[in-house]
Amino acid sequence: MPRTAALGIGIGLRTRHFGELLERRARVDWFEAISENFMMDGGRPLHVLERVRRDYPVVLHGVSLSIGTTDPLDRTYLAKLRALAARFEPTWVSDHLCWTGVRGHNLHDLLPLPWTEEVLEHVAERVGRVQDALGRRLVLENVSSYLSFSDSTLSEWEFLAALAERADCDILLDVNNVYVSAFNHDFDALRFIDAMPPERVAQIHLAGHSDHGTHLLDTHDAPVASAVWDLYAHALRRLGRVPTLIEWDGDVPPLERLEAEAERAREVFASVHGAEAGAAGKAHAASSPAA
Amino acid sequence: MPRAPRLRELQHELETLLSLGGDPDCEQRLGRAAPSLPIRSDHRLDGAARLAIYAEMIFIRIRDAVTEDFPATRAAIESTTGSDAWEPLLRAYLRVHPTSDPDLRRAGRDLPAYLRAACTGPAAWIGDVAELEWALVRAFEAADAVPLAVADLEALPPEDWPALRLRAVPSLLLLEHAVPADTIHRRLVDGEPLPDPNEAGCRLRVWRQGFTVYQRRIEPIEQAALARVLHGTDFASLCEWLAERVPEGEASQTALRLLQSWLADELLAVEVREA
Ligand SMILES: [Fe+2]
Repeated sequence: MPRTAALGIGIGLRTRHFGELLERRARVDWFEAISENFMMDGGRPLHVLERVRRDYPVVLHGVSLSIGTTDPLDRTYLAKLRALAARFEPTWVSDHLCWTGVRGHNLHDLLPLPWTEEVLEHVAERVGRVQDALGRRLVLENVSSYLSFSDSTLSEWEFLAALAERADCDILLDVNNVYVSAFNHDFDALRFIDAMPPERVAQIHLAGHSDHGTHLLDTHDAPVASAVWDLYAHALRRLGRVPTLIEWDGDVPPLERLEAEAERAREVFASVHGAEAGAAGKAHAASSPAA
Repeated sequence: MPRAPRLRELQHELETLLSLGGDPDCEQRLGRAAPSLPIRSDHRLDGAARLAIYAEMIFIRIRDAVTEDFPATRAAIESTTGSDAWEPLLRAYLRVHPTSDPDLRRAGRDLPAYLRAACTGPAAWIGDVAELEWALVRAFEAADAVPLAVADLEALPPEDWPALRLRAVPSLLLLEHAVPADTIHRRLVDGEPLPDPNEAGCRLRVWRQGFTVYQRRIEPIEQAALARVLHGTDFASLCEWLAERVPEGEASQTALRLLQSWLADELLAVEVREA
């Protein structure tokens, strides 16, 4: 695992649970907050995040960095992200290996890139500038995709591993996204996971998807699929004690339902590593941050 | 010089196509464009179908975000134009105002202005409703402030009163409508019959107290006084200004009455002095 503490099992911080989180301690180790949801001047969401941050480690997860766009870097956005990170001191800051718009527009979707040397060079250079602007390492996530480009000369996993190496950034491995894309583009999910450099995988995402027959959609509105749990166990065996987060964004269920899903991840984690994943259960089996 | 010229060209082309979601001719246009794009097809889905997955998702995501912030505006459009009119209206809006903010929740920020221009004549009130709804959103996420309390003023020596700076909380917004926008808004949300459109207009203040957003009808004198507070004024200047507008001898009484209601509603903020 890279230079991050072993956080254990977390869930996404969602508006539906705000009230309950102010009332009681959740049975999870940490929270992931969507950066853009807190880029406002004031009000309740920031107040809740402050309270949550007092009690748990928090990471910031963005959706609008658009690291792969050919537009100039959005300096205003980066300044807001930097300010947010200074205020809430997240364990790390992540976003996606994708582009979200061009010509100043934002389509609010995580769009795939062609996996070529030219694009690798382009993205690596931008990651470097973003890391300079933020004054910290960036963690980038593989996205679910529904189209791929015929002029790609690399596989997505080769691209991601090479990018992490070249730009000196870390990886957020979304196991559900690997599963969804593997189905949609007909590749072997295990090859993707096995190509990940263990020392760079800072975090794992797990989420639910929906089956549309011709393709799988990354809807985040369902429990984690059983095939994805199997892939998760495989990823843990290969990559070590990687902090794991359950994402649920559509039809967000009650907090207890998410805690149960986190509990299941904890069980898989324990079955692979034979120890508690984080502090929410019993004693904190945290390992110290690596070098 | 862009470092990845081919990527740039591809992204421009894709951005245009993926913005077509919700358009009646979306499928046709994607079908025409896809064969010349470097998109892989297989036995399950061709390039156009793969583009369509994105185009549809993108439109739905933005539509849902805007709809959440404009429930009354949506009801207004549906009741005046037809039960299936909301989606085409949003499509037309997004063609003129493509989303640009990194925050999806700001996708609707230009909708009031768009409706002001699009809905004229007897439908002009729809722009008023949208303006009110967006003000409620803005107040919800405006910067926090420590409200000025009665005790703060009681602690103030009488000689300091004239120079007392009056500063509004950042969430305070003033609206002026030629129609009873507040009543229309409430009836639309509650699904009740709309008031007579010829009813008198209204002046509103919208603000956040704690984490709750409020709106209230105000008199012209209060609206003008609050406008001065938003601009920056002190207590003596406000009294002076009031003296020219209210019947003789009522200025200080009016000033006190306004001040009391502003304090009770937490409209005034403690002045933060730079250290
Ligand atoms: Fe994810």
